[in-house]
Amino acid sequence: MITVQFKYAGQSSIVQGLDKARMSLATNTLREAAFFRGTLARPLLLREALGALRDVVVSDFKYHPRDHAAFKEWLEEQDRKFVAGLSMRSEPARKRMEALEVDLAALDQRRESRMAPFYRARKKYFDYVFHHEYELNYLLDPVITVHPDEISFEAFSKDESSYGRLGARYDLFEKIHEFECGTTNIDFSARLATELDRMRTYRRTDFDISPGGFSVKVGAAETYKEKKIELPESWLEGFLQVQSTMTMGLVHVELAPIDLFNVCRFLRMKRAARSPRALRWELTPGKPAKVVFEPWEHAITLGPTSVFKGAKAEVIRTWGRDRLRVLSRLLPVTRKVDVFLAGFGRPTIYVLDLGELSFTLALSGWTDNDWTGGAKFDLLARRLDATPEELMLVYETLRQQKKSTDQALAQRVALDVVKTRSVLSHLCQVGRAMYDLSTRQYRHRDLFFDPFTLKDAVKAVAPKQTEKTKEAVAAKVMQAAGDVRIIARRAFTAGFKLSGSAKGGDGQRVRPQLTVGLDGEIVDGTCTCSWFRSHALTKGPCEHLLGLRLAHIERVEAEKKGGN
Amino acid sequence: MYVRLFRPKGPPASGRLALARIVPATDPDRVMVLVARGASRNAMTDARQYGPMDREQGKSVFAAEVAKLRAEGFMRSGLGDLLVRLEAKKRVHRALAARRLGFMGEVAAVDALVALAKKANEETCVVLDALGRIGDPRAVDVARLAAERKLLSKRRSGFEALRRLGDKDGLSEARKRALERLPATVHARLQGDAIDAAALTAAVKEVPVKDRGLAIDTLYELDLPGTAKVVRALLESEAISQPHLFRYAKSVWKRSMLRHDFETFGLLSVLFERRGRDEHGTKATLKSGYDGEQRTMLVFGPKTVRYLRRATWRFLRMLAGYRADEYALAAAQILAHTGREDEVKPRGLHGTYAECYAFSKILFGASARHEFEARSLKHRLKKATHAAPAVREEAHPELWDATPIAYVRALARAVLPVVHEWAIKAITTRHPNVLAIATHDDLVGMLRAAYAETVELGLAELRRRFDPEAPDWDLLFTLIKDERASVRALGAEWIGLTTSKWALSAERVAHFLGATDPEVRGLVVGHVLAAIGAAPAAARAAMAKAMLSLVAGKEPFEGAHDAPASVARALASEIAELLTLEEILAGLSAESAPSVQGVYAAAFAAKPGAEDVYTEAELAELGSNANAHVRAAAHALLLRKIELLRADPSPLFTLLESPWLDARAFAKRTLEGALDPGSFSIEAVLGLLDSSEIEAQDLGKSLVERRFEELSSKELLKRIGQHPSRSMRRYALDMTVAHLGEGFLPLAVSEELFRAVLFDPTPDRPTKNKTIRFLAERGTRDPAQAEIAARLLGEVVRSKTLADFESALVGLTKVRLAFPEVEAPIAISEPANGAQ
Repeated sequence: MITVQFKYAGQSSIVQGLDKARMSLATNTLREAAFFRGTLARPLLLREALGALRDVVVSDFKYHPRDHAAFKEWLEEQDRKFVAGLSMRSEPARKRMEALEVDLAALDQRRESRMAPFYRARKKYFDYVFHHEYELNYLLDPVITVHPDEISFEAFSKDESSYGRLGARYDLFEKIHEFECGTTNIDFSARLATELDRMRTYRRTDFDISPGGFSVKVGAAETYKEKKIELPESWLEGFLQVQSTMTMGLVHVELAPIDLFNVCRFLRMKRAARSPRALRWELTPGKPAKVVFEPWEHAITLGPTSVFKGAKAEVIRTWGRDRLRVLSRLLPVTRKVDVFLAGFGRPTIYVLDLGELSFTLALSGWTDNDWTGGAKFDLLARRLDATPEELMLVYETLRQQKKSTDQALAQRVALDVVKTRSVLSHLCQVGRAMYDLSTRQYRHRDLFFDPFTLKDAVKAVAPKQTEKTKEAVAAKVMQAAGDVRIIARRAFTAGFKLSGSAKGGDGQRVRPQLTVGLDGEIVDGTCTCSWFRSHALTKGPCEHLLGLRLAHIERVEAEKKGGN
Repeated sequence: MYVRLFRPKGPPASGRLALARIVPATDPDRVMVLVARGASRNAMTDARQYGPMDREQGKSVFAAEVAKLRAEGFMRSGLGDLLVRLEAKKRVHRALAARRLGFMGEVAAVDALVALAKKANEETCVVLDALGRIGDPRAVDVARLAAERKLLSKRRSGFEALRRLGDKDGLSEARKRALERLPATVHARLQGDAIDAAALTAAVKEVPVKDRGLAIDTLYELDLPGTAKVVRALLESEAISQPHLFRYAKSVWKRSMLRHDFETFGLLSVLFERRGRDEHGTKATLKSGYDGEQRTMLVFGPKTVRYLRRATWRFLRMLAGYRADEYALAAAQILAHTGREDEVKPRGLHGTYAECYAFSKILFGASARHEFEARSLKHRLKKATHAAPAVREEAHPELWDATPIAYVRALARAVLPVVHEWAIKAITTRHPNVLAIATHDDLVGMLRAAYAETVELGLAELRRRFDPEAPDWDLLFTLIKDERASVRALGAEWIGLTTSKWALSAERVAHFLGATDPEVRGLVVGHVLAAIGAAPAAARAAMAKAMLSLVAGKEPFEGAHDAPASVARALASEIAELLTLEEILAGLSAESAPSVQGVYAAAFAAKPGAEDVYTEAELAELGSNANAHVRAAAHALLLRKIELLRADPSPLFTLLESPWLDARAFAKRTLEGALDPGSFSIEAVLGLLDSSEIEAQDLGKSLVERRFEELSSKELLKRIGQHPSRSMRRYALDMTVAHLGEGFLPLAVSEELFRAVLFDPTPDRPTKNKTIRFLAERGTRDPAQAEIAARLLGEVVRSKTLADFESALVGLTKVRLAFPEVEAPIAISEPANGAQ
């Protein structure tokens, strides 16, 4: 567990007057002093987007089994009565017992009705305490980053399965008074969410991100709102893992708002009582995409904007579709939707273009599968070895630039693009950079308050836990022992298609087939091993696929050296 | 009380034997003193009788007569023999003689005992105990020496002797050594003026088991105020029969006998007997208390238990013989501590209390129906008969009658009905006036008995004692601070009867508010609040000051400040006069209990000029504070700014959104009452409509309806269309359909509303249809409006919801037919035959 501390000098609030309003977001005083002051040009847009982000933060779609304690208690009581009835031999006694039970039931009912106001009051009190404590102890405030061109709000859901990012470009503001770039957290209470609903265009709305927020000082004493949250390490890893996924080779489909509306509307109207509950994307090159809802096999053919531009047909099943409901309130203000699919049972990313805002929703393969639980996306991507010095160089350059594409950054630091991408991947993994899928740029974002030092860089380039996994190690052993053979290799515009043969630790020879990108990242793959039959790529690639990729990389490097 | 004196060398005529005796008179509260002398027990010649007289007088007459006899050369009967026995060969004989001399309190034996103490070894403890009982200062030196010994038994006897001898110096040294023996954590809890019993108990419980017994014994040895109670509580909860603990529990028991602390004696005697019934001892390697050698021994084995049981009764017997006025008090504690756990299933002639040795001896010791089995120490009936009503079966009935208060002591704590029945019978038939001399604690104790007659007796006596016109305050305080609800209920009743005597007395109110029971505190608050309203200003000011001092500082327990704070809040204006604005604000921001913050909040609201400290927006923020009192104060201050609110009621709109019911109610009340909604500007009306509260929205809607002519419909429709709530959106749509101005511009302004309705995935067919129909209709008016309608309907026509699709298709077709040049995702083709 990691303890994350927040200390706010004030609280986030929106003070509404008759013709003006002030939206003050209190920043964490334990973080760097990033601030922003401006006047909103389109408050409604921000209202809807922040509302949707709040829905992501509080969403918990994990399966929570019902509490059957009360039912079991009732069942036991019935058993007890039944047994007591059996032991009662005399008929008058039985009748007397029945009469008494009727009386008892009446008394119970009277007691219940007498106590009802008390129970109601108690429930209200418990609800208040629960919400209050829930916010203070469990609800993690969004990470806010003031960039030179936009303000981004990032949040991760409580169930660790959804990531939301709201990028507010400076066009959203009528006037910008001052700002200081940096990353911090903002107090994002339920109260703020309620106050958001009163934002209107006809009130001049000042937007203020500062440590003070809005606070009423009573007496001389400084009062702080403090939160201390015990965060599972997987939460943080998941938060960083999202970036890794975004840089992978993803299948892209563009939707019109009405297409997403149709999907959301169907999900709103129908709930599947039984499995399978996948959302199946059927993509045929040159044809509009089709979304099929399982188990009814109800297909929706999307609009003309969704014409698939990929080279070959794809059928991708994704789960946890109910999470799309958080996008509902954005539908009226959405201009277009870009959907990025990582593959069967793997993450899906929805990027909504709202004009001056962009909203990114990244969903893990399925609701119960958090971003780290088994889905080893690192293994799919290929990361070249990087030195700590290279990491520091790229980090410092990105810090100065604030945002950049990988090519531009590669030019600036005089490194190979692939290498630069690997270094950036390392930086994303340690929370020092982020990938903005809406603009396809890397941005500097220090998730942690401590400065990034050479020591951190050394740690960052150390083999990741995923690289020490059983599959990764077995692949290396297999490759070293010469148990992997490339049978066929065919280059295409975006990479290579490989077919091979591999003998794993169990002595079985299997046939892996792999599609890799130019940088060596796994785009797709199949294998005849039992692991792949069970999990496909939902839990990362099998050792045979990884071994085949290693053999391929070795050959590519040999070819490079040979000048071929 | 009975003394037999012997004169070995006296003339037979004036008698060799003399007897002095106090006997009860016919009136149970009076006594007579009998003195007789003669040649032998069967030839008493000179007998005199004094009395009847009261008990105290009887004692002094008795003492004077005994002194007179001693002056004539009479000495205590058997004393000579005992003095000779002090020099016996066998140590057991020496020890028994010393113990007897000690109980006799015979000063003449002191020199002999001191001499024995100096050379004795194994019987030293008994000799020291005897010297302590006699209380002659000649024994101080030997006692001091013994108190310095390391061995527990010797040290204990030495210390207890010093205590009875009243040797302050020796005791002070011994106490210092005792304090050093205590673990530091326990020692720390003894610092300060008053001992915190709970903290001390917790500290002792944290001491490792090996040292805990010593800590308990040392605490008892120190005998500081309150420590005996803590020790009793600890002994009750600890496994006193276990190694490391038993030795010290036994030590406390022995000390209690030497101190005549009958409560501790009674408790431990019963506990030992109770544990001994189920346990058969634990083998452990321990350092012997006898010679200091380490050896494996059986701790709390059957022999030890038997010794303890017999020693208990022996002690009571000795008291009966030599301290007759204390026997009943000690016996009452045994009766009081024996509980349901000590009962056994009756079997044959063995009754429920067959295994309670001391208990049975006390209650049935003089019974002809019962007998005791010497081997098993069990008590049984000789044959199955009932006791005759007039026959008294308890041992030493005359001693019970001589000390009838012991019956009350038994009633105050006893659990067993048999004890209650027996004691009540004694009180009602023989000692009806004894309750008059019972203490408050005794009577209060009787109220918790699970025996109705005992409770009635206690209640009757308490009611008799209590006079509402001249209340016994000590009794009242005792009642309301009692831990038993029934007792507190009586206290509460009396509080109600005596309100006029205390409700305006700051001191008494403060005292009553110190009760631990929140119900009692609440009752007191109710009476004070009722009385304080019409009280003179001086009394109110004094009360305010007292309450303010009560709520200062940290709460001794959770909720302690709530009651004084309730009173203080009713005196807000007096408190506001007592404090400056800065002090009030400091109190408000301090980390005190919410109720105390409420006091400062109320004072803040009452303070003139307080409204200028905060702006209206800030007061609205405070009006939604988590503390209800702070909210109330903020509301009161907002009302002082009513003129400003009239111009800009937005702080009230903020309060309408408050999560707190009272804040919302205040805002609504103020908007509808103090302010005139009829005079609101359009901004204010729209502010109401902006609310997410249905009631505020309804008020806003009714205002819109009433004043529609005054309002700019263009502005109104633009603004209400931005409301995110579905119900308000429906209202906005209705208004738009009914009142939207002509032309492209108003339609364009409402586009966001149409999109919000059409892209809402929640099913609402009537609203959607209405929107689509409206768009279709407007789309047929002019090309510019057609473009907007076609754009929106062109998106909706791709809906996979059949109803939306069909409606949109129809609408779009209409628009397209009206203006074919408008871009739309549908194509209208004419039929092949050219028909329309």
